[in-house]
Amino acid sequence: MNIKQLDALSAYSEATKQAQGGLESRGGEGADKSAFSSLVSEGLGDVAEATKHLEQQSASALVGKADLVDVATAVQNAEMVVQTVVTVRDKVVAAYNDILKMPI
Amino acid sequence: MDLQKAMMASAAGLRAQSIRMRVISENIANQNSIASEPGADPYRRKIVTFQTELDRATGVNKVRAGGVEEDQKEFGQKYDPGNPAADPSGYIKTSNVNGMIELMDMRQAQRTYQSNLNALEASRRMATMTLDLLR
Repeated sequence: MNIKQLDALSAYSEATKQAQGGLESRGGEGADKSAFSSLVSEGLGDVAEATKHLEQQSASALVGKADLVDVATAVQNAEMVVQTVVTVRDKVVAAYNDILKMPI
Repeated sequence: MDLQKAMMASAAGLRAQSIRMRVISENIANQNSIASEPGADPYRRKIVTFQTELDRATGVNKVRAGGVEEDQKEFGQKYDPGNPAADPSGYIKTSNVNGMIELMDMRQAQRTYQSNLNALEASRRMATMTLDLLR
């Protein structure tokens, strides 16, 4: 179960890294980077950092090098960051959808 | 974010108490350890000291297990003339670990650990509840 979690996490952090790279390259093309894309890429940067730390901690715990407390706090921190980013994203996407559905 | 700092302080408490627990376990395990030769000292009880440590980056007053000191209490004596560590009059020095004291110490470490865990859980719940406002 632990290994599966790690797999999912690494897949997730890969995806966030790719998404971040995509956003950055798109931002570089346009003259002005939109506020939304910078918000998202900043948030994803936080997520990537937190999940990376979590991954390191769990990996060193697996080989018996890390304290259980460190792993637990890393998991909790990553969870908080991911939750925050996901909630904010949901909120922004909902607002965008509302604008799309606005009767003209 | 203050809730995150609160969690950091609780985590430091957990770490400090686990170090304390380690030392208590060492004491209990070595309760009956005696010297290997006459005149040498048996196991001396160890005590953990806790200190406040200011984390300058975040401004959190964390707890830190300071040095592990040795208990200066006198050793006990036991009459055991057959023991290789016995002195000419047949006495051996026993360690100055008192099982009852260790037991109480352990209970206190356990309770403190539990309080830190509860504080951690409470901070986390508060953060999650705040996030729920956005949903």
